[in-house]
Amino acid sequence: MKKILSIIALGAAFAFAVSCDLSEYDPNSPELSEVFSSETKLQYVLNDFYDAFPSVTGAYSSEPGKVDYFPKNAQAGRYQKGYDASASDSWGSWEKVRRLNYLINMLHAPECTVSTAAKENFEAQARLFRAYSYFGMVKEYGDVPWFDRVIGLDEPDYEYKERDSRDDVMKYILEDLDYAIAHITATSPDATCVTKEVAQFIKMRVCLYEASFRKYNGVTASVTGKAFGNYTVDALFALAAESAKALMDSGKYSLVSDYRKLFTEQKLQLSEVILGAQTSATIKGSQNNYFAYTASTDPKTLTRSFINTYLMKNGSAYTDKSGYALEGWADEMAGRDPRLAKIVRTPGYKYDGQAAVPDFNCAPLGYQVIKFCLDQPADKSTSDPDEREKCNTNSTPVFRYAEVLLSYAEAKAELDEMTDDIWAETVGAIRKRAGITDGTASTGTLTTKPTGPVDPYLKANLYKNVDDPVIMEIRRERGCELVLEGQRHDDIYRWGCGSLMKDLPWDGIVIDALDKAIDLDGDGRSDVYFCKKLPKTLETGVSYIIVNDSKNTFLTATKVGSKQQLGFVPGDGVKNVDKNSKQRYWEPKFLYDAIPYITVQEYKAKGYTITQNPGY
Amino acid sequence: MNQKFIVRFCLAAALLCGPVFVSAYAAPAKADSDQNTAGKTVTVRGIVYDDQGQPLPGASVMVKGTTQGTVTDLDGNYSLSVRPNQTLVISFIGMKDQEIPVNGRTSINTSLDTQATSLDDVIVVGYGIIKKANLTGAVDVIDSKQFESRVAANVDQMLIGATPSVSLATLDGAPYRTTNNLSGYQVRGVFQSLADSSAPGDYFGSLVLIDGVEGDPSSLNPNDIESVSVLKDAAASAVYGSRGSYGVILITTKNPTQEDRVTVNYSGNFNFMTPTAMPELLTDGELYMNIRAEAYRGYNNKYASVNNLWPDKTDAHAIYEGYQAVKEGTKPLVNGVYTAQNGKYEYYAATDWFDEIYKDWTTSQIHNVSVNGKSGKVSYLLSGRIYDYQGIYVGKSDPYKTYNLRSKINVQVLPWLTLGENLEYSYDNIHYGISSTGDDGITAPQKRAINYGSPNWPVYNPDGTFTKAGAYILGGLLGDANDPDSAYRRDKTKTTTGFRTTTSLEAAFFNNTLRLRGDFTYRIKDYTFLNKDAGVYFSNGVDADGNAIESFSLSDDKINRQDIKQVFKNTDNMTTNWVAEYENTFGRHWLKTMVGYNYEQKNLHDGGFRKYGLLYEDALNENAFAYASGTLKDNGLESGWLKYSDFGIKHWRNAGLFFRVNYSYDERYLLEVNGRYDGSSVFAKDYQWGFFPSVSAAWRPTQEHWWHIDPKWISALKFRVSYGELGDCMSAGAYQTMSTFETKTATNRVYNGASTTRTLVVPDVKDWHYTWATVRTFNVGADASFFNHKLDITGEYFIRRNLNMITPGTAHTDTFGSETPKGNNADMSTYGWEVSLNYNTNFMMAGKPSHFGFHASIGDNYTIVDRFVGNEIGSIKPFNYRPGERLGEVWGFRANGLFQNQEEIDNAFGEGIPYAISNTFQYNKTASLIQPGDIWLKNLDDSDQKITYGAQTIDDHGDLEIIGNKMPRFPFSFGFDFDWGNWYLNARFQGIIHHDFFAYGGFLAINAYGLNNGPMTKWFVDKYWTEDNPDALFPRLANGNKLLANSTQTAWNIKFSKFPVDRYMFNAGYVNLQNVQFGYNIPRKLLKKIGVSDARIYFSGENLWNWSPLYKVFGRDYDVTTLTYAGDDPTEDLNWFAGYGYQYPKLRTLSLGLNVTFGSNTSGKVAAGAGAAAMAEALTAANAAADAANAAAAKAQAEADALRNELGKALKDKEDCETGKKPMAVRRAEALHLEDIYFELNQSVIRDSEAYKVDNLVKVLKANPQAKVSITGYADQATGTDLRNLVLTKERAEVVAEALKTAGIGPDRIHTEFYGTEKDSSFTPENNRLAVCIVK
Repeated sequence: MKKILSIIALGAAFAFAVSCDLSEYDPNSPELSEVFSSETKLQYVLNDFYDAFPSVTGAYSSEPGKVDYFPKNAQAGRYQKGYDASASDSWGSWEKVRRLNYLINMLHAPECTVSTAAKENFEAQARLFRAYSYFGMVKEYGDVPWFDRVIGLDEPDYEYKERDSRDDVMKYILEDLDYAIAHITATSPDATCVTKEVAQFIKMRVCLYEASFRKYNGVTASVTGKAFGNYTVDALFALAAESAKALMDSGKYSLVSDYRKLFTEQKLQLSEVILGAQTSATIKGSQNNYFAYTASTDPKTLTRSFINTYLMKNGSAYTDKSGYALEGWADEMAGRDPRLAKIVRTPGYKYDGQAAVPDFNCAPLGYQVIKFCLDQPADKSTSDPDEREKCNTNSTPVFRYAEVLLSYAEAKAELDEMTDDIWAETVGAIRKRAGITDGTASTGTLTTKPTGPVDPYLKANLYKNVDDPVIMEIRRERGCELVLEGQRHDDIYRWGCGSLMKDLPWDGIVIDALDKAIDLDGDGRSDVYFCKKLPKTLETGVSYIIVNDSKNTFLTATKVGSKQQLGFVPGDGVKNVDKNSKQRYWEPKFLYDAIPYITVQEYKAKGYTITQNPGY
Repeated sequence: MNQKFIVRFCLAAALLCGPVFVSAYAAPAKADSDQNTAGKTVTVRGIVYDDQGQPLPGASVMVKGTTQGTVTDLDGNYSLSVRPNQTLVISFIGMKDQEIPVNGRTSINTSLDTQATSLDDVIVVGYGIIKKANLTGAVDVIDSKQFESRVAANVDQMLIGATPSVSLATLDGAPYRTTNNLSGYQVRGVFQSLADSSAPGDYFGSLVLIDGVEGDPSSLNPNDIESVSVLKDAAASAVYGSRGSYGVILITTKNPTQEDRVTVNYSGNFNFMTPTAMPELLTDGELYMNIRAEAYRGYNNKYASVNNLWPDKTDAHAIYEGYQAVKEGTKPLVNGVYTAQNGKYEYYAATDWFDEIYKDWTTSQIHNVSVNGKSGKVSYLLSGRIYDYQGIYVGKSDPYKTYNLRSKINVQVLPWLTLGENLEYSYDNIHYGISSTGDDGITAPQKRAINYGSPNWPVYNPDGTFTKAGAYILGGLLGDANDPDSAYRRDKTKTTTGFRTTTSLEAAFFNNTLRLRGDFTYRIKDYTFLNKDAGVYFSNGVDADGNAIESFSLSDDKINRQDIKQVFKNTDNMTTNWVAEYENTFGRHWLKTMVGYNYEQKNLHDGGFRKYGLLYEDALNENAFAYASGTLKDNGLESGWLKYSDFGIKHWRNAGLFFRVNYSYDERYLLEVNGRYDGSSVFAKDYQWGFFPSVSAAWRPTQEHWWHIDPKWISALKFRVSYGELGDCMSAGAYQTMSTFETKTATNRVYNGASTTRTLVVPDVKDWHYTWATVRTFNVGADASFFNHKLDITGEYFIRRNLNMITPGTAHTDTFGSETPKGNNADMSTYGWEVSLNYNTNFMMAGKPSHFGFHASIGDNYTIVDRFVGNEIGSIKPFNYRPGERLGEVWGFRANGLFQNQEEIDNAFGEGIPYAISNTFQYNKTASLIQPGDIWLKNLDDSDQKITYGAQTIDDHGDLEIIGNKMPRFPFSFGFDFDWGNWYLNARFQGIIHHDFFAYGGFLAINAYGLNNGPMTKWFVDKYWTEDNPDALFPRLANGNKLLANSTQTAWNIKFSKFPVDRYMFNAGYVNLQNVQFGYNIPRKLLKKIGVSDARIYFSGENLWNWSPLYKVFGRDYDVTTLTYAGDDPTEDLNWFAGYGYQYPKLRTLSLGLNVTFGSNTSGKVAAGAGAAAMAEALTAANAAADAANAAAAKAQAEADALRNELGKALKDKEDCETGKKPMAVRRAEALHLEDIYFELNQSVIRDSEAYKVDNLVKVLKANPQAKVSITGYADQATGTDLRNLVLTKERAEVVAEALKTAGIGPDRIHTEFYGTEKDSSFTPENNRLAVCIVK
């Protein structure tokens, strides 16, 4: 019997050595208390939100498909004819908002044991990211519901709440940014991480956007009918000016002398760059590859209508020049704003030491972008296309000082507070850096603001709603200075010029005639030959480009006077133009994206309502 | 005394004794010594066989109505004088009596049928065994024949179709394919989690236990399997709790012998294997190119370049011209290649790429050796197996080897304590057949052919180099022409090793009424994946000097960085089980109770690395790489060469306390109650434990007193019912309740000077307030046996409800900002039935005993979703379930046919209303351009005049309709066994009756509707619409036809990701001749001379034939048995399509096999060296037969049976005898009876007065070295319990046996038996005796 008992006892002891709590802890990831007791780990949590800013491979490529001056064979889906609420099935960056709210909430929870100073620094950074996320959503949707804490699992009233007025959301965003400006202690010697200056910059951009968007699109109330009570347009312009001024007065920033260096150096130009996408030995860009990509369907070219806005070197408007419209490529580039030669290939441009005219296979309209590219293969050592795609060592700015100056000028002009002094330290300084030497009464000089008349080309072709020459010239300058840096879409939207997406012609250089070898740069050698059908004999060293062919072609040539002007037809190209949804198109409802149809249904199914944006 | 004397003596004794025994117990009658009466009698001679066709010694042959008779001799011969008009009654214990009128014959051979009924079979159930008669739950037993002499590579493949209640996924025909790396075994339908909206599908396999511990059957030696039980309902699997909620499969391995002897068995097979089906490819390059070009034009409205196909040609017209030039002879071909002026090659070959990729046939070998023995208190079983497959691909092919080793040792440490050790080792090595393009990763050659296998490419150029297609498809198998070793620089190998040790103890107390069993198991399984990536040269032309211009099949940089990727996975698993069992009988009440404890923990670890630049070919060491840090440009880590590294770990624990109570009254009314208290680490602390009870009951009307139906008609009947609950934690997943921060490495931006940094991701919303899901099963079943147990039928009906399944809860809107956490949110019900039938009969055919058996089974089930939270809007998209939805439903369009002309298009929706279709389903780039030859979809939704899918909700589904259900229906199997003398033939068929299968572009193995540059099947040529072929099945040629293209297919077609059209939905049910065996048992007479006890040669075939209604449409191009699971390979082995003609071909196997046993036979009818033992068994068996003659005695016997059951293994031998499991190998004729040895009451020591008998016995045995002794213990009924008496007789027999051993008699010559009071018992203490009998 003893034997039995001892065996049973032994067995039971062994068996129950395992207690009733079977919990296992995940060895792969840290738990909450581990994270909130360590500043290092909290920094890691914040690192996850930097996706909000473009990375080095994306800083320069966000515009095509949603701007007026850069053709693409298909606009982004949301700007296509027939786009409606059922075409999207999710909206907003709510996951990011929740994660930020989680972080902000938890910084106040008992589990968080780091110092108060550290808490405030982290909260300030988190609120910066939250404000920036909301700014993105306001731009996209207008009114959005504001959540300043994590939504509970069973809190339908909160989760399904109606959209808040964008005016209220603006208030919360500015509160977040003010907190960030006041409390961020983090610094960033290489301008790669958020600082209080970054917060100030974002505040400036938010206020300028909101003020001008409301002003030029006539937005005075929320879509749910709520009147705006927090800010007037002027108040927002004033806040924008205030933030810009604060950055200007901080003494930390100045314009670098060489515009091109901003985009082609491995080191960010720290005197001008407030936040940038920095390359390293392992992190590289793909600009050279991106802007040299050859496909007739996906051109990498600016359009002549926009290139026309660049002034002459002497500050006069190029479009004031008689007969400008029929000038060939070499002629139109002569004597222009020197900055233009740093943005696109112009006569005399050398690639890898060799004279290089635009490659029409890649930039069929003739304005091949070099702004972000190196003047030689970024990496000569490899022929692997995969590798070549990611070997640019030059960094790109994300937020830079020139925008501060332009924003200050714009805010002041909108407030009608522009003076010659302000002009000189803003637009004047930028033009001066560009290499422009003087100006006219309508374009303004380096030291005096324009006094009129308003530039007729801009008025007729781009900003029809502007009568003030100061505002017109600020818009010109902003377009020229910040081209392809990711601001164009927001700018034309806030300026009430969204229809430019459809209307600004996608035209190219002017050539003498088709079916003829053309010497573009006047060096005595033929460069390109535009034709509808290939000639029988082909000359070496000449690019043969098919135009107006109904098969597979997007490039057109249209008679202008005695000459031919190139053009780009999106959609399915020359033959099926107008037959499908990818053609250029714009209507006022495109000011906002739609709340997804499915989302509206979800609210309905739960007994709540979410107001759809107008037109959807 | 010489041997002859002994023989004669025994013979004489037997002749005397035999009839006495027979007459005394089997057919009570007066003694009659008149059997040799001469005169009108004739002498009838003959042989009596058993049901296996083996001669049956010791059978009684009586003249009906007299006491005259004899018994058969060693070879089953008898000779008897009878009158011509008399009738012989032939009987043997465990066999059915047979009456044969003499009718004047002098030679009568016959065979006896087994009488043992299946109700006496012992079935393995959870933590124990039970007699089938006492079973109340739903349990399937898979016949061990399913594994005998099979030549499939692993147990998984052998189990396919074994029972309709278990479905196994068949992905393809690779011999190394196991089901366990898919969804595993599925008992009674698919277990779908309804949980995940993004993964291909969480399907849960049933719990598979090998010797009581979770294991992987695919690494098990099939020859080690003793039995397989499938526990189907809650009652049966209750004791396994949570892990058993999806059904339990119990695999029990063979145990060492209980007899002192050693046997060695060898079996080997040599197999020829050839693909069952191979798509017949179109090799006419010109026709192929024309179809391709037309298909391209059909969609794009223009011809375009086909560079990949045709390096120097840009459009179809040029290709046409090229072929014209070839025909005219202006482009002379060398092996299908024209070398142009500039040295470039143009290709006009006629290559069948499948012919190039696959061998016509291959071989494999299987060798098994086992040693089974017992010596004193130690018994052991050692077994080993080698499976060696040569691979079906050409070149270095895909060889596969697997080794299994098992050693099982039991030690009887003390009379009441047995310790056991069960060790298992398995090794498995696969070299995959791979293509050579590393840029796309490593893939199967036939999958690479999808992109490069156009027939106009040859494999080799005239200069001997590969063509691009040749290099891409075959480079990994063949290597460069001048460097065949280069094939080995690319490799993908998976090596799996498994090791398991189980230590167990068994103890019995209080006359074996209380038993304790415990075991502890440690199991590890390691996988290593090794990928070696390197390129192969190919050429597109020759230079001016005629030398090949070579390129590499990988881009340049990668030449320098042939890389190696190694991935390790390691699982270790610890399990312990403790069970205490009490069993007793109180009169007519039988009670058995069990309590137990089970604990399991599992750790999963994985890791791997990838490095570039091998220093030498076999480099594996981490420093053996040509490039040091930073040399290569790499967007990964700064160190440059380390491309990839990954490590992960998971822990998991489960524990449970359980009980079972079995009660039976009079063997008529049976009741079982189970419960288990279960805990799992996957739940949060306060939600870890749950209690799950179940109950089952059965009634056996045939045991009722009023039951009077002759067993000739209805032999047995049982009705069963069960109801119970089990817990399910499988769908919960590890760490799902915890808010932990996911760690990531950010490598795409610089953070304050650092190129890489960590990021921690804020956790998603977690809800830990959920607990066990429940699986509730109601089962009714009936077992019936007819015609003296010749026909057995079992039927089951069940309803299984999965309640509170763990799925994401109420849908949240986007603002919630997180995945919806899981909760107990869905219910579903499965309804199903199973029927199986077994028929067995023995008869004489052409003078030889014959046996015929037939078995068939079929079942079906379907599942309805009852509750699903989170789909409030009624979406019909995949993963959005609705209450009332039947799982597997396929939403699609219905077709009117194909448009024949423009008029039909213009008036498709009524007079003047033209056909219009949503962009999503366009046939050409411009949706408006519907053309004759396109599919005419029915406009089911009249509200619009356009074909759309609406909002894809149940209220608005446009023109979609449920057009089928992709769940396979009515799985069935049937087969027969036929024996004739020493010959046997058996066959097994398996299949499904219905399976809705959507034949889309990928399946068709054509590229006209979606695939690029791939091969095209021959049958397709006249199957597409043209004006001249208006009745064609498929629409006009249009590349990218979204209704048939294959572009967006996701893994598994269990969920169609596109919208099928009913016109192309076919029944892919099938029947497959899974296995055929034909063999010959070599007569023992012949074998004796060479020292072999048993030998068999046989032919075995797998997958010999199949048929499907699908063949009527597509011919036999595809292996229909794998279509059920067609889709991408969800395993990480290789990424290819399954089914559709691109999968690894299923292999038809023809095999020659040999099975030889040396030493004592472990399973034969006549044990050459165990005569005496066998004889004693037969004698007592005769007693049993006598008992069986009257009902009361049978009752007593049943009670004794019950007792004996509880004595467990010690009594196993005897029980085996009586249940017919172990044949009666008796030489009654040679028996020599010595004096009985008597004992005192309740004592088991040899009395002084009896010692001389033992001495005499020793003398006799020593004088006759060949002789053996059998000692059988009997006790009186006057005193002691039955059980005590049974133990006493055992002890007494052992005491004498021990004394004999001490005196130098070899243990192999001694056999003991004991019967307590059960037999030959009286009320006189004198019956406390041992009967002793000697045999030559």
